[in-house]
Amino acid sequence: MKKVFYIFLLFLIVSCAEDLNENTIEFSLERLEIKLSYPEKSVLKARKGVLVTLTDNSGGVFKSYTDETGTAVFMVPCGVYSAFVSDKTKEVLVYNGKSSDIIITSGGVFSQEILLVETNVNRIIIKELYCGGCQMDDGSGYTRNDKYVVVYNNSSDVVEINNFSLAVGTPYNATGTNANYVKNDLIYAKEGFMPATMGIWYYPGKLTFEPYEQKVISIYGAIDFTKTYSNSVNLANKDYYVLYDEDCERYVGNTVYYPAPYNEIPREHYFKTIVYGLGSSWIFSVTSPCFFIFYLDEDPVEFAQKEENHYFDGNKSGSWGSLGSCLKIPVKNILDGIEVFSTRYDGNQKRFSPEVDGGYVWHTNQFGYTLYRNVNKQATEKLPENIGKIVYGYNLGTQDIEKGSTDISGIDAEASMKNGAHIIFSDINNSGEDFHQRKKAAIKD
Amino acid sequence: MNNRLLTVFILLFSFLTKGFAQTYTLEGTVKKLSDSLPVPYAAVVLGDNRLWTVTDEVGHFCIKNVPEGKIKITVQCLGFVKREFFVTNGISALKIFLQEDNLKISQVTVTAQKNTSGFSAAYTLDRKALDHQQILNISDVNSLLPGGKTVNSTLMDDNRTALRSGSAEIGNSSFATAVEVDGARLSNNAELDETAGASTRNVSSTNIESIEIITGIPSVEYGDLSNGIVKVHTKKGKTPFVIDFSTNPYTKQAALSKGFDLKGDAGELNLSFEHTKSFTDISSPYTSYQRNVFDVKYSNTFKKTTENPLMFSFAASGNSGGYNSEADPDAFSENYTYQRDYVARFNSKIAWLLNKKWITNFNAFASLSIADKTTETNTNKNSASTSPYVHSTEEGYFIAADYDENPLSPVILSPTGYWYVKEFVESKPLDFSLKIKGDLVKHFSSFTNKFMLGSEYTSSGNLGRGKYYDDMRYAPDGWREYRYDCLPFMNNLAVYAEDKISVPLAQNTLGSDLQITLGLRDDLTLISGSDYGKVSSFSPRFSAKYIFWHDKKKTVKELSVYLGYGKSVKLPSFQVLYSRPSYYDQQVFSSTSSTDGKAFYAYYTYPVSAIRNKDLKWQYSNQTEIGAEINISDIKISISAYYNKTARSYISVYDYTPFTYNRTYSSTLENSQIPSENRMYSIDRNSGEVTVSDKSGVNPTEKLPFSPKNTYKSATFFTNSNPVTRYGADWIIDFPQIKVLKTSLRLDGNYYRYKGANSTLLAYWPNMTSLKSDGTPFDYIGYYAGSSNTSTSLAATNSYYNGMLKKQINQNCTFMTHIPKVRMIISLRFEATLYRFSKLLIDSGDYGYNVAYASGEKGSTTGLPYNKDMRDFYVTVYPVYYSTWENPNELIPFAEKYLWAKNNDPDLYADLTKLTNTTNYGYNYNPEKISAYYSANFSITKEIGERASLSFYANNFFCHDGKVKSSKTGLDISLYGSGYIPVFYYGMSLRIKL
Repeated sequence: MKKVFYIFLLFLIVSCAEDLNENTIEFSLERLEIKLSYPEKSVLKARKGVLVTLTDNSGGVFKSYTDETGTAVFMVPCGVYSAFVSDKTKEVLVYNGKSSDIIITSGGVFSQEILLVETNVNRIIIKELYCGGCQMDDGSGYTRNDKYVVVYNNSSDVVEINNFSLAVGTPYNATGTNANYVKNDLIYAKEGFMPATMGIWYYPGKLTFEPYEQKVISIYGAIDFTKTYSNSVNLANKDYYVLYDEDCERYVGNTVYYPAPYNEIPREHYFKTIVYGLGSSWIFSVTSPCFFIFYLDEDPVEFAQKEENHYFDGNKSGSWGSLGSCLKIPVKNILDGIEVFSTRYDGNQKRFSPEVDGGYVWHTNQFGYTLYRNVNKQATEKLPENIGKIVYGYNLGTQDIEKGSTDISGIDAEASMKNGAHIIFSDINNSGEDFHQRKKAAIKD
Repeated sequence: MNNRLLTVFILLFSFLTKGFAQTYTLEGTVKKLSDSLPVPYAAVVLGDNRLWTVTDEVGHFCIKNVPEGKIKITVQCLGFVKREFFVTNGISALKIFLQEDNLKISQVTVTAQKNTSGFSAAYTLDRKALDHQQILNISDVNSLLPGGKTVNSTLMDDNRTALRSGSAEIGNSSFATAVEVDGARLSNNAELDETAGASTRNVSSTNIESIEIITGIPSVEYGDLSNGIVKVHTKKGKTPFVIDFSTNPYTKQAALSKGFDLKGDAGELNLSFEHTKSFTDISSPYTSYQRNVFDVKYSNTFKKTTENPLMFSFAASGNSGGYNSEADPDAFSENYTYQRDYVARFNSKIAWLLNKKWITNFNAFASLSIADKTTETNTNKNSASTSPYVHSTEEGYFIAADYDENPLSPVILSPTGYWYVKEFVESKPLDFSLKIKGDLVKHFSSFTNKFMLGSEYTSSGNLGRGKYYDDMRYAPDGWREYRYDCLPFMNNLAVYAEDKISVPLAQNTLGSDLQITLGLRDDLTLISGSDYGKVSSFSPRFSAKYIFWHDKKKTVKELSVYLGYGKSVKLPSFQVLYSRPSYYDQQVFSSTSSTDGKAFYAYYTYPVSAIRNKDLKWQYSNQTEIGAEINISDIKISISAYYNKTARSYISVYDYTPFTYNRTYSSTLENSQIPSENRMYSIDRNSGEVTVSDKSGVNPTEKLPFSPKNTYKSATFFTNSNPVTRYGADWIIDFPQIKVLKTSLRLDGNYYRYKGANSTLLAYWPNMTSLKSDGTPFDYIGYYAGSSNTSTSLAATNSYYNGMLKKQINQNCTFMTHIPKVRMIISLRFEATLYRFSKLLIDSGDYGYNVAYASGEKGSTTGLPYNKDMRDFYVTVYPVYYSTWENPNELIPFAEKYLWAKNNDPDLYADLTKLTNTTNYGYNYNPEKISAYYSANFSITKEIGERASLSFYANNFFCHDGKVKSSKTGLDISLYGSGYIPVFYYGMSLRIKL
């Protein structure tokens, strides 16, 4: 028996020794060179000073600027990285690029080329996305249905949008299994469309935006959430819009997600929906949505019925209306998008192609934080009507929390607007550069 | 009961009473081998003659009227090794020595042992095997059957026992597998939320003496089953104090048991208590399941020294555990789910050896089981707006009201703010059974006949209240009272008869013997006050065994073969019998919300009476089996092949009825003159017309316009599915011990094949919320040939397959090293799955239409008729028929219309496409062959002196987590977390005898 015991003990020791060896980390830095490649007809060429951002799978961020040859050099530990870059001309032509799954192993110099693509910059933008919920008053957790989005006319022109629409990409969460990646590329990245999952919401006909006008759109309930959740927002406002379609019985029957809108909100502020996915509500991620706004020049119902506009998640086959059904939204129709990564989970993956959004913004949900657009300081200060109206000393950023961010322009956009200023927001189609995480929803100011 | 059958029995019985034979008296003593002290209460049984007695205080026994000739005698007593040997007449003072059962003895088994005496495949696991494997739940024993795979045991998994079957198969195999504890059936018939086998988590695992598993055809004595039976025998007899401690990463167990000799003729008393607790999270062991089982068993044999001993036993068992999802105290939330698993079981048994000309034995058995499986949940709720809670049970239009204003309103407005909902689902199943049987053994010169006649009455009901709430203001949307205690009991009266003839072949001196058993059982199910009324089920069973020889001189020392056929019927569960009434609730109006989030909603309710399907038939199985037992130079081989066909499996399906309701849009309020804060709403119960009145009385009352809308009311009911077939073979090869290494080898394995496809015509309304091409709501109903759904808990829906073909070959190899000198046994078991195949099936049924078309082009819903040899094709499954809202009774052949519409009516084609179901990938229908994989487990048991023993096991101790190849996709699949093999797991137990 003793022999058996000693053999067993020896086995344990060997096992532990192996574990110890495995836990011994050899730390070394490897050289990674990322070279930017511009389209042939681009007005931009390789140049010095373009910021390239590198992230690892656990959310670590590395930044480096290009040299004269358009090459950015990083010294990073072994691992798997993704790189993002945006560059723009003075004429507001924006070029974005991305490369996923750059694998760095021990030894050698690694190089990666990123091909930049030209993106559209539109006047109608997402100014704010509040989707993470806030803490409840009884301390039992957080509420999540008080979501809203603010869309904004980032120009001095009156803009009319045909069938202004809202959609989300797939998967709902950035950390969900993404069936659309083949090797390192999104299947649809070069196909000129973005899949809209589950359904779309649209405003029938034309929606007019006055210069610098914003429209607040309630995603689930146009009610006053602050009556129950003091940290939340009041969406019972006659000027607000609401995603509520009485013809969609599946949704309006779900009164938890779709309570009857506030009395004073006029009927013409109700959006309509086209549903082709499963479930009793439109799913909008509380942690990490991929949200975009677009227009359609044809009737959305007819557009949705055309088989050529149908796509199934992961480029699978399927019956229209079944799980994974998506609509192909042409990239040229997309007005703006925001790619959100969750700070709570590892394994975030991009869902937008660089043409729509070349980056991502970190988001910590549950605490009333909101994703707010950064101010284009130079353009805003340049507007003559803003003299004396711009409020500085912005202090609502979340740079003091992990992966938090702030608006480095230092302009308090909300306070400035209340002061009569016209704000021009940053728009380089890179959520990482265009947005920051704000401590509180702007409509609570 | 069938009169003809009764007549046959009576005639047969009359004939058999006329047997004759010479008899003698067999007398002797039973003593301990170690010290020759007498062994009281040892059972002495004479083979199949059913003559028996029990030793007295001094180990003495006496059996009279023993027929002349060679008879097998079996002597057993708790704590001793069972002895079996043959005696012949003329012996008057037999001395039988029993050896104490421990690891010092030379022959120890810690695996499932094949029962060689029966007529069917059956296996036994004794206490040593259970200790060695550290079984926590009876359902774990499946892993010890031939080809079985080890599972990591924890009570958090409420696994149910299912024999000769696999997961996700048609036929409710666990429900059809019976489990008995000391003869008392653990019934799950009176459950309303599942149609599954009885949970065995509440049965003490430490108080089990042995488990017998009949995978083949059981005697007609056993009814209400169609997939075999697991018989658990608890400890009975004098024992020392036994203390058990067991631990594995997710379970802790402590138990104490003792068997008392009450001295004199007072009998024996066994007491046992066990506490076992399993949890899901090692770091926060608050969510847990625990059982606290107390067992008491009294047994005594009266008139031991006479020729008519009478054995009486009474047993009671109680469990007071359950599942508790109590949150970690560090967390805020007071949300919890507590599921009681309280049970009290009583049974009493009488066995009386009458040994008369007209009866040999009389047995009576009664059992009662009362359980409380109430689930209590406390859920934190909050809302910033009111929601409607629809509770109406009558047809009509109803508008929501505040609970404080009208607590009985059919629709109640939920509160806003924060609150807790305490919900109870009270389920109290009650099962009662009473059995009597008698047998008569007669000897006709060279052959023996045993005739058994018995009757069984069982009754199952549920005394629970169903779902209710402590404060009805929080009773959520959709709740309606449905009391279980108002449902009729299901009563079953069975009569059975079995005759067994044993014919020794006269010219043969090698022990050749032919045994034939013929049994008939008739079950009469009585459900008073229901549409089902009386249902009669007839189950004939036949088996035969031929023993070629017992001859130790030959190379093939023993050879016997057996075969059998049997039909067995499974009674339905309450879930199947009593479909709940369903209510169709349609929102017909909603106001807008006030500043405090209050809105008024109106609903139309249509109650749909529970559909009791009068055509429902009881599920049954036809089992056929053939097997052989061979001993070649002490290599023992047993093999059993079977073919089982399960018919009329229970399935749940939808039923749709078109109807029209009146809808009032909130947009009609736009023209209202009444300020929104002054609006009061009412609705006409019959027409659905909404009226708005002014609280202030300033403005006149307004009636809102409405518009009719078409839809369907849906309900579910149970029906029977197509037959499924299972066939396969189990084998065990036991090699003799290599004495130098003290190691023996066992090879056991199985081949299993399942084919099941459900092509029962069922209705389904997919895309119910989408629109047709003309912009109107989608209102086509598809009638599909079956579904992939195998659970009775969900109604069947459309799917791109309706069946499955599965084949599997498992081979295990167990090395057992037994060292009596150090009282230790080590078993090392390699479990391999050599072949694992599955393939989706589509069965078009007998409707005369093909329902599956294949295309190589993604997105195409038309193509060639699918055949099983196609690979990498997208397969689209059509309904057989479809119907329209306007004409629901006209079933339009789908494929014909669809293919026509493709070229002639694009809109109809687009609409009908929504009724089709296409595979997501081209490989879905490809055959799936998983490359071979294995895992290795070991167990050690060491006795430390006479007082203690220690066991340790490690499952998958190589931490094997490699990859296997999938032929379907061509991809590699990681074994880790695949469920194919267990993850690395270990456990230890200590037993102390005082």
